[in-house]
Amino acid sequence: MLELSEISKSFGGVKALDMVSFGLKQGQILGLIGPNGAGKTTLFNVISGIALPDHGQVHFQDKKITGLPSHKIAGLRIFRTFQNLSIFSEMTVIENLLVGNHLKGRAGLFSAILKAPWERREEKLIRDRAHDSLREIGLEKSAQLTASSLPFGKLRLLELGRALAAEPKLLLLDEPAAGLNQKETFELSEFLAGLRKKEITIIVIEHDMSLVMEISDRVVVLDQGRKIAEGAPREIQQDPAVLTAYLGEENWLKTLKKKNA
Amino acid sequence: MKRDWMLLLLLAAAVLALPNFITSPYYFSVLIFVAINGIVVLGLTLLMGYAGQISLGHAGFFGLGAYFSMIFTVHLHLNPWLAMALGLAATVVIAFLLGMPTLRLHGHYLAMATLGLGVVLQIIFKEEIAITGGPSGTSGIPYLKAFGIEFSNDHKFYYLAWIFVLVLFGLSINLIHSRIGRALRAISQNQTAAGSLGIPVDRLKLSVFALSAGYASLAGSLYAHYFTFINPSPFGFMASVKLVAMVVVGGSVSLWGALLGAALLTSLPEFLTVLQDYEMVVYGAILILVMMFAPRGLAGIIAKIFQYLGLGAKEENARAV
Repeated sequence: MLELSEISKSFGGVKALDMVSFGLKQGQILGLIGPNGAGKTTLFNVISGIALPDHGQVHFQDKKITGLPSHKIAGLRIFRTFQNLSIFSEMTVIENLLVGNHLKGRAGLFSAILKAPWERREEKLIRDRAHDSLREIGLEKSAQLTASSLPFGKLRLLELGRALAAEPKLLLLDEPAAGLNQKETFELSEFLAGLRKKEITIIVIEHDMSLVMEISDRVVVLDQGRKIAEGAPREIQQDPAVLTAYLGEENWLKTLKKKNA
Repeated sequence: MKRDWMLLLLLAAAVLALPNFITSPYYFSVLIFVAINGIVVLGLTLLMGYAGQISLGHAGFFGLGAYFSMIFTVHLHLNPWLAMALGLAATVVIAFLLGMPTLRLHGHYLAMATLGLGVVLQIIFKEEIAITGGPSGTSGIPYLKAFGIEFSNDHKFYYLAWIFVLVLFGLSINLIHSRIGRALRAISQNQTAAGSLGIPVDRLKLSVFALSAGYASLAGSLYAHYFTFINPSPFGFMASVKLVAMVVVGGSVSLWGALLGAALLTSLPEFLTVLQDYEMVVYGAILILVMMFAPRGLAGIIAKIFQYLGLGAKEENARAV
């Protein structure tokens, strides 16, 4: 359903992405890994329309989406979360979820001002849906709290819930486990496993190797903007190129070896 | 939301009751100015407080409303109400066209661009003498009439101006509690995230800019038909700064704050005429004090007092007003 072909993107003289290509089938979960600065987030920015690639095309459901503004890409039901959270921190939890349902409505500024009947109907639908999402992520009790008053783990959950509220076909998760403790990470992996049943296609950037290896159908490895490996989690763990790329980042190497053992 | 409508009802009652306590026609004129400024500030609050975009040129749109009303009535002899509606439409279209390139800018650049826009509009008011009457202005603008009443004195015009405030206030309440209103707040907090959730950021910013220009235009038309005379001086840069100051002093994320800010900064100079020469100094000082000690403005202070007394809505609600 998603096809990246020869994506390149430079910032100044630095090649953040260099001829990256891969594809993704409906319902798959793809792990995107690589050392810091490998270009993973840049790739997300390209897919979600925040950054324009210098070269290459992104196709989604056989339609070219390169160069579309991000809200149009969201309109195709491609949603994402951000590495350093993008919660609307001065809005309440429920308001964040209501904004997540933005695309469920069509009424414009004028209908909103006049509170037209169709706007009211829409609003009711959106409210019902937001409350469903609230239950899904288990934050009912915090509905009216300002988002900034929530602990970090809950905010990650809220951001995820907000993206899910929009019923994504493709979901891009940028380090969903970063900053979470072990218990929260475990809950997250359960949650993501649950998404698999809903046939949502997911690309996940993650540094927590055990999480990536557990949930991914396939893994793509980036290093300095290039794709250096692609395959099933088991293959990736034994790929010499991958091991070399991670050399020097000892912890990662250890994690990988531990998984292999 | 219910609370907003209740408060609006209270305000309506106050508008009706107030004339019984007013002894001098002078106070009527002050209250009319509060209403006229209040309308502009309401629109500006939607733009600044909710959508998070600054405009230092809104006195220009205020002026456009006034000048369109003048041109359509004095030169083209149209009905004043029709003139007001046409002025509104024209100002909104102009705001759309001017906003398209301008609103792509952020922060200081947007402030500078809108500042320039306001200055240019005032220059047009001054220099297009054949149409605008130039620096000496144009008189003979007709009064507004409805149901056999001519709004020709302060007492009558007071009601008319405040009816406009009440209606526009109600419409603004609708807006901020809608999907679009939430989208605006989302834009002001995180544009990237808003866009990634499907909110058309540029288009909405532009729409609210045009909407706030529309509010300013209506206020300008009222001004023209109240005074029956206009010249360029009330539509300059200083007026734009005062409008922004009203938004900030009121507490930019509150419609009620908008009215309070307009009321305070409109009436203060009237009562402190001693300070007339130092007006801008006083404005500056008030702005600095508000920024330092009450970043959420008068609305924030009042919400805090209510909370302290245990009467208030929870903080989230106070914020969402």
